[in-house]
Amino acid sequence: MHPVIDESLCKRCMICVWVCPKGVFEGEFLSLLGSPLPEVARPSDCINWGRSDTPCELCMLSCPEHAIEYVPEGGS
Amino acid sequence: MRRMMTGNQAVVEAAVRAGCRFFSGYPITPVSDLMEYMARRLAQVGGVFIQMEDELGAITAAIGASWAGKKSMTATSGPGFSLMQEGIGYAAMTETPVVVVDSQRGGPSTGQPTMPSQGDVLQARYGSHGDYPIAVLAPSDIQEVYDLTIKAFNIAEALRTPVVLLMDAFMSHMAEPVSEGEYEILERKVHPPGPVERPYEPGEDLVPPFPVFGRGNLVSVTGLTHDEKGVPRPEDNRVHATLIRRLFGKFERRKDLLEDVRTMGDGRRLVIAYGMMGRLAEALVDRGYRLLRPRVLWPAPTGPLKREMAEADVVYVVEMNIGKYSLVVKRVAEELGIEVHSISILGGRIPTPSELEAMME
Amino acid sequence: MSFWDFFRRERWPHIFCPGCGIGMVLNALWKAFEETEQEPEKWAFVSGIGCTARAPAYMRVDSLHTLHGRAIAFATGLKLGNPELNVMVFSGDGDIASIGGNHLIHAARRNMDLKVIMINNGIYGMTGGQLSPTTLPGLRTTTTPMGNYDYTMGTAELVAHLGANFSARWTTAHIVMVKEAIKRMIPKEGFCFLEVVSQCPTNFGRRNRMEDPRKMLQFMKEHSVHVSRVGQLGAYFEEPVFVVGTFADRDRKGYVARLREAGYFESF
Repeated sequence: MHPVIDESLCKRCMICVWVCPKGVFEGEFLSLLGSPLPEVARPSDCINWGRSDTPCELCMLSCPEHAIEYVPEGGS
Repeated sequence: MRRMMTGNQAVVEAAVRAGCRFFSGYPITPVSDLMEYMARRLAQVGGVFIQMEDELGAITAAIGASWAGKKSMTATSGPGFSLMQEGIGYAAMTETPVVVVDSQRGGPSTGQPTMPSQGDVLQARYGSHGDYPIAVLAPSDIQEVYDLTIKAFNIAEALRTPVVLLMDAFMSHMAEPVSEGEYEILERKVHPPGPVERPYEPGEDLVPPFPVFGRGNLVSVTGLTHDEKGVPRPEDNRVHATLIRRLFGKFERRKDLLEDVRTMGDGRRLVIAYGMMGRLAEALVDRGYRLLRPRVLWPAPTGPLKREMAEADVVYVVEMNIGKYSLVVKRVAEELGIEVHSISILGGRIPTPSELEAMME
Repeated sequence: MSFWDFFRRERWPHIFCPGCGIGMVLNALWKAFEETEQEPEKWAFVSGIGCTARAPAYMRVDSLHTLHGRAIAFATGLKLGNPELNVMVFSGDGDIASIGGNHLIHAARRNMDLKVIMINNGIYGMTGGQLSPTTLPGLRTTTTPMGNYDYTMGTAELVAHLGANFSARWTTAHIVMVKEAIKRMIPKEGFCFLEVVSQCPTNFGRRNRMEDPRKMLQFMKEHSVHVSRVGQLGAYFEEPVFVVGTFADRDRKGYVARLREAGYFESF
């Protein structure tokens, strides 16, 4: 499993980038008025990669918009 | 069978009779013994009583219990009534049935804790901010305290509204025989269990069915301006105007419940008095006066006021305050071109009928 | 139960600013409910006024959005009106600790059967960033433009002292601990209180060189000290420190049980 970001919900706060212990996300915070969408840059680094369960849910729990979900490898 | 009761006891007995099963209060003269009596009485009938930490908590806990489907009430006097105003406005906005007893004492501030007054008659109507309707009842004897307490619950449940019962420090503690006859008890319309999409969609009477919490109605209730779904819409002028006009509209449709006056005598001199002063003024009927005694003060009984004033040459409004209700009477009298005299009694001493008559001359 | 079984998708996106911690707590709340298999229909949520107080309207539950400060008093009436209902108060620090402080104190003293989640962002976010009784010393708010000279309130410690069955404080930088604390509260009777220190980038961070929400989270993480490492109450009165952990976990009888013993709820 690995995280995907729902673009329509994301408010570009970059908390996912901060919280992930594996550096799966990449993104740049410009200001509260608007930043580019963060991306799931290294999905295969995710702790949940290659598993059918999600022992680490830090990014999902930490996304204030609930814009992050886990999908099977290769999904989107 | 007639039983001797004080006013405070009559409120409790009538409330229990009307189905009240929740009371939250805070001690204050002159309703502390109402609370004490209620604490025992509710235990006997499977109800719940809680002494809250203040009147802010007392009114809000009563509203909370109403959302659990309980008929609920609180009781207080001037200072506590002031603290309850925000909660009363919330009940009006969210259409929560709740009964508030205000046993009036001399004010402002701590004033005269043990003396009667009618100084809260405008506060009971207009005390909370914003535009809202409310029903205010004023009994003149202990039998009426009993009858109007039941009526207060009926109005609250039928219209989904806060209702104020205005007593005073003397009426709370005066004892008289009360007969507990047959009464019609009204219950609130409720939504059936299960999700409700539009909880604030009103029926023909403009009163939406009540979504009792815990039955899966899954409604969000808010004191913010809300649409029929219950969604907050504070910026929408039309949603706000529609909501507020509907709140007033549901009062206009229940004149059968809300227009309640007593008239006596047939002289050309009309006395308008309510509560304790209504009782006093009854003594003037034998002396040639016509009496109009509203039992529901608000909404103001405009129709009966006009009818009675049309038969009069002069009008006296007798009340234990600076002349508050006379403002309402004057507004109606202006249209008819009749002279209105405000007889203002301050200090809490009840005059004799002869003293009152002398004040009117 | 998926997230969107618990929250109303049709009312999303919520009103909270980018990077606000309230949404994080909503995740933890849902996850705690999911893991303990709660049925939302059996819960009622009560909130007061403020940013956090807007959250229950997004939940697919019965919810009461009430007056500023009175959430716990409303919830008390609701719980006693129907003791079978699980009642959770979800509101902010201004609402619960400041204007509603008296209701908090007395509900904790009574061990009233309520769960209370107080999101403490240390600021009045909705009204534009004024000082809160929970603002840490030295930090800037719109009403302390030179930096906060006022003392801070230890709400979770206070609740623990009053005899509540559960009291804990965590921050949104410890989101898994937040979830675990909620799970711990769910089956308990009596008064259960969880304070979640949270970030307000818009009205707090922006005035304290922490507009980037990540800086606020980092600040909370670095300034947190576990209660087991705190020698005495008030050791951090003068410093910007968050004492985190569980302050009380007891099994005293709740208020409903005591009311039943006194003879209420059942006719005789």
